[in-house]
Amino acid sequence: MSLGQALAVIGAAIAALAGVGSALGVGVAGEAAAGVVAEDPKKFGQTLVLQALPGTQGIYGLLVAFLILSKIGLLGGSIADVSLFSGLALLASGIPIGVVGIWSGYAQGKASAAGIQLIAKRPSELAKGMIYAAMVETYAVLALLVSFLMYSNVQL
Amino acid sequence: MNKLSVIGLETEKAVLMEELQKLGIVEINEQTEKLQDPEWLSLIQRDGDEDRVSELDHSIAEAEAVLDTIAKYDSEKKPLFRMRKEVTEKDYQNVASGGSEIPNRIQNLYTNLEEWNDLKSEENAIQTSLAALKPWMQYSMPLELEETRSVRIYRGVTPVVADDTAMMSKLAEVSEATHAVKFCEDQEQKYFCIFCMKQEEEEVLDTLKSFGFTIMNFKGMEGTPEENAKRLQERLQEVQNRQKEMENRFRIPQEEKTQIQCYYDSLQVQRDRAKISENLLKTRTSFYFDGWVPAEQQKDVEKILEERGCWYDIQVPEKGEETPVLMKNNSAIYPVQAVTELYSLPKSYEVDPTPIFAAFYVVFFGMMFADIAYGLILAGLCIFALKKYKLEGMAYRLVKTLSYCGVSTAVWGLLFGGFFGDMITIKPLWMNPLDNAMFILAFSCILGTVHLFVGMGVKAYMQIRDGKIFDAICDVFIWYVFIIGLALLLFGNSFLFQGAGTIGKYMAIIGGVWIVGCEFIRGKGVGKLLGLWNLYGTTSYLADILSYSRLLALGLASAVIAQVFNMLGRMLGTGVVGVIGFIIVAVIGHTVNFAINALGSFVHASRLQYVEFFGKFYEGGGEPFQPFERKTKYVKIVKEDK
Repeated sequence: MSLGQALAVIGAAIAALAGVGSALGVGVAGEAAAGVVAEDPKKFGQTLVLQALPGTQGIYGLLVAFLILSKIGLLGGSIADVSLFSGLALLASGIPIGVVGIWSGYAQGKASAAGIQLIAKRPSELAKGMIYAAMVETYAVLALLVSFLMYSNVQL
Repeated sequence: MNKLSVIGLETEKAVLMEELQKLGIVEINEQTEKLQDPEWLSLIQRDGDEDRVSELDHSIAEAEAVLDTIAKYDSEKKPLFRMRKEVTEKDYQNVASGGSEIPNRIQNLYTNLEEWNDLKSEENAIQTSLAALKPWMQYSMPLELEETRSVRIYRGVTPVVADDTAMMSKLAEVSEATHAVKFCEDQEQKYFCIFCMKQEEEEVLDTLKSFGFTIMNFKGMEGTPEENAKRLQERLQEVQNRQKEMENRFRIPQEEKTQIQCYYDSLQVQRDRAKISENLLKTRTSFYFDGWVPAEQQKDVEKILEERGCWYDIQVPEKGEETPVLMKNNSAIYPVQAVTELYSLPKSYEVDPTPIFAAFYVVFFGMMFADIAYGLILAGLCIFALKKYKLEGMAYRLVKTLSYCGVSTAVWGLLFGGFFGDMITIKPLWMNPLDNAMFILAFSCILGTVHLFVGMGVKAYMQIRDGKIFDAICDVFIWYVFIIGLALLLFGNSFLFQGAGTIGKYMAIIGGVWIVGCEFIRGKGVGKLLGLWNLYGTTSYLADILSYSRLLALGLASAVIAQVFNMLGRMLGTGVVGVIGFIIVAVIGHTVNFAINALGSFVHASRLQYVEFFGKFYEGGGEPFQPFERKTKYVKIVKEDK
């Protein structure tokens, strides 16, 4: 394996780190949800929807990691030639979603937890709680887009 | 929405209120203001019948308890969505005013329920006693025997940490004549029986207490513990049988359940009617109320009011006066109102945004989900739910909206070429966004710009309607020129035609100058310089437009994740094992991807409306129109077929 290939693999690893943010976020939201459901078990469905929202960063990370790995052919069997600079560029393309994913996932988890508190008091306002959480996700979506544009314009 | 004021005779009131409730198109206002006005107060007083309301509340609570219990032992399968059973007007009236048969039945069942509750608490008490007796099974003397002529018998416990050998030896020291027996110990306590002479009672008791000994009380028990336990077991059996018997009485035929539900609803309707009279004002022989009625339906109300000999007045609200809001849309757009309702109803003087953004909503959702198979599944599930369950209200509107979104998803799937990601290779009708990311990104932003411009157009429409044409030009039209100019300046030469950039340059300059100039004409004092600040608002337009890049990004996410699962499935190899493995991975993976991305598309399509689109013109915060009507929970009253 060449240095370029190894750098690209590191890029995929960094992208997948977005899952850290999702794990933290889903965890925080889950704690809040359990508290609310303890009072009113009928709210399980609603709280679950809000808890799922911070999970997307991990998926975006997986997406970019998968794209990078399949571009260098690590998943397909025969590894392509990756020059040092292409490898570096692929590494860089993993950074936006990896880094933004961690913080936005955690922050979105906190917004979701607050949304869960909101539906504890006003069950009809689920949509508003979801929108608050989705506002945070915008930045993960933008990072995903940047990662994708960098990735798709790297020539091996 | 028109304002209605009515004065009528007390004798006609009951019938009139019943008819208005049946009609269900009049909202009756509270009268707190008039009740504080001395001029009104000298003439009228507040109507209302609190006794009747609380009496009905009591009956409703009983019927509700009975229905809850029936539901607990009901064999009928519970549907996914709550459905109201259809009942004809005639049947409803029969139940509502059909003598004492159903009320008596409810009363009976309620008595049963109370008895069941008593039995349940008795069962609990017996279980506790049995648990307390369990360690004493070896004790073969009658429990009521606490002393003989000269001997005292103590039965009691120490904590499990107490040292019982030390206690025994200490007892032997204090009194030779004392005999202590340890029966058993469990996780918490040790159980003892102590015999001592009555004259040594106090010393023995002190010693025992120093080891944490407490005397157990067997009040009310006669005979040995074993006999007691047997008796209790028998009683327990009896109580449990009796409970079963009671429970069986709640397993009633479906028709009877429907009747009770219908009666419950009729109680609720009567209660609402009794409650609404609190919003009426009365003199000795007449009553007054005011409220709102939708203009299209006021004929029906007028007819009833005339029949009952009321004086009434219907007025069109003054300009800018806030009225309750009832959105009106044709049956195709009506479901999308759900999206508006989730945000906030429009104010009565605002434009209902639903018909304007409905198409955008459906298109955005489809673009972010974009897959033929997912779209067909979503549409199929929704149509199935609509056919199978008679959905009403918000649930109906949401499911119906999602069915539109499903169709749109399938169409975008065709355009982008996706069927469960890349499970089957389909040639895209348009292009594959994975290979043309930059183009689709630009397309998303242009689509977004159109969306924003439409939103700004609504603002201009409202301003022109209110006669503020100059404001409409400054706030909206000149921005069209400015933004399009900037876009041409930046991208025109390379993407459109040579010279487009120059056109764009002049448009941007004209726009920019005007935006700064506007405030010189409109503003006062330092406000004249506000135009420079407004120019800075360009950044917010930029942010809004770039926000639509999520259309591409989320579309990619759902497509690529689907591909990831397909690839994971294919890694399991070929042959029978490979195929089974692929199916398992695909089913689980695509279910997860479907759920997450459908949720994501719903949320983000809504967000684009709420934040970007509504941000341009929409205020919201209207009060919903709440007519005085028959609010039923279990049955839906329908007109008879003729």
